[in-house]
Amino acid sequence: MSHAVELRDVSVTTGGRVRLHPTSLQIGTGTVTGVIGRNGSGKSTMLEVMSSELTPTTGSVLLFGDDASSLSLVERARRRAILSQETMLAFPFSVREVVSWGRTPWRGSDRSSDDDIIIASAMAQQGVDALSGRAVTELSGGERKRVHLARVVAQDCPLLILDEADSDLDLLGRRVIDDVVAAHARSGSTAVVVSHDVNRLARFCDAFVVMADGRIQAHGATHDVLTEPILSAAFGARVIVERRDDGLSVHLPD
Amino acid sequence: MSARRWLIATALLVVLLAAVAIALRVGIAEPTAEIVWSIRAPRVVMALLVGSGLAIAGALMQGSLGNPLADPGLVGVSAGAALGAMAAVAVGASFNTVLTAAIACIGAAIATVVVVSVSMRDRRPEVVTLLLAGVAVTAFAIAAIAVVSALSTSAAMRSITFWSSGSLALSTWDGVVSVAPFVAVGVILAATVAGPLDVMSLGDRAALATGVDVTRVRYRSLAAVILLVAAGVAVVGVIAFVGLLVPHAVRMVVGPRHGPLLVLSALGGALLILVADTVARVAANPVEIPIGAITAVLGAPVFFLLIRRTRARQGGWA
Repeated sequence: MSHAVELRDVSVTTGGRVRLHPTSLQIGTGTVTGVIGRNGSGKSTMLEVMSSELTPTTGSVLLFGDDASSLSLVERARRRAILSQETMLAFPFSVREVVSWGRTPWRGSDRSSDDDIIIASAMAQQGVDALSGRAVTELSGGERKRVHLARVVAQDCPLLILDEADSDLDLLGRRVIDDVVAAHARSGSTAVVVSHDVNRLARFCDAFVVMADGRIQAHGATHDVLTEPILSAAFGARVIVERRDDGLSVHLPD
Repeated sequence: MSARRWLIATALLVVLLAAVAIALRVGIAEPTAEIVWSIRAPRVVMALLVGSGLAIAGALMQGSLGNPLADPGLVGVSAGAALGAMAAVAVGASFNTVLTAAIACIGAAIATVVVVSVSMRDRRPEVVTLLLAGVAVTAFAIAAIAVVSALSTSAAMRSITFWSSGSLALSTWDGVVSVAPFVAVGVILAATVAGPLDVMSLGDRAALATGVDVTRVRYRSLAAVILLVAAGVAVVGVIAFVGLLVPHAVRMVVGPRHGPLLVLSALGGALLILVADTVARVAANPVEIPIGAITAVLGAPVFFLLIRRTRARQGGWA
């Protein structure tokens, strides 16, 4: 099985503090992996290393078989797209302009000839095509997030990384994110999703990574990992996992 | 550029040419060939160079720092350039020379490095700190200029006031020749960053994730700012708010894309400085109003407006 991402003994130390202890991890292509853990457990650090945004202190990161440190910024941007919690825009660019920036890494390549089609279909998929000419800064929070989703969809990468992209969204907004991940996975692509909403992740993730104290506590298929002993240890409190017909339910005791 | 943007650019160009024609004709003295060629013409060309340089520099600073309030005059770049030029003249360099312009660039570069490095937080520039650092650097530069001028016996020091409030009265053809190359290189650098600056509007993390080398684009933009501003400051002094006023007016009309923004800001800045300088020359005849005073009167209210708007917007000062 080939891997979309492989971490080989990576660790991150900043300012004398270990943010990520030596970690190895393989994410198979075509899988949807959820990453959970408490705040400060190292989720974001691991994700930044995985996306090669952050150079690890030790170890190496392979993106689709190639050492990430040997790939140019553009080459990395052709392999993975990232949507983070925080989306900002310094100036009032239009919806279409912002979505079109997703095509930045493909500029000058063979694949740039389809730019207009890809941008249009990404906007339509997120339901923001009607807002095409509007300034993104004038939109609501949910609409803005959809514009940025359309942007990373337009980037057209085999690996999609969502770093708590759902944190400021309402129920419907979260469903939009889930749909994007599902569509991405159906096309054979890989997704890694960090979220605090374990129950939602459980519905569409094939695998989970559980983090605590800068270490991976568990990694494996959803049903193997989302168990009371593993989650209780990771969250430092008793966690109840119920297996139901429609999936899993993870919650704290009443 | 779209048809509408071309139309606006053409209209600006026509108005600019008309302003040039008027500027060459009006003044205290009769417009003899000698006066027009050796006094007014270099002053007009200098106005075009300095005005377009300041306006492009403002757009570049705002874009590369993601900060709509950035202006070379406000964040200390101009003051650093003035101190550099002043120091050069104090030790015997002449006005309107490439040497003085180059030393002004060094002063501006030092000010830029100080202000930008102080304002970086989590590897990205922070809005309020940038402006506060600019206040500190400007205050230091003004104080240093005062000390240098008090100690200097150079005859050129009598024109000290030009540096604090700006005037194009000392423009000569030599000055034009010494400023033009700096502005030309600055414009070329600016042209290379227009596209990436659009994407940098997303903030460093997202821009990096789409393959934009934000550090390189930022350094290149700031290098262009220094070249576009410093050489002009060496000849005409500090003229604030042009880099703030012009790009904002342009964005309101054609939107924030940096390609059209830089082109139209160049035309708009040239027009603003030329008109302001013509007014400065003839309005209170025979006295000249400092041009920096005119741009400040226009620019300060706009600055207040922008502060209010930036605070009100989502994310506030962040």
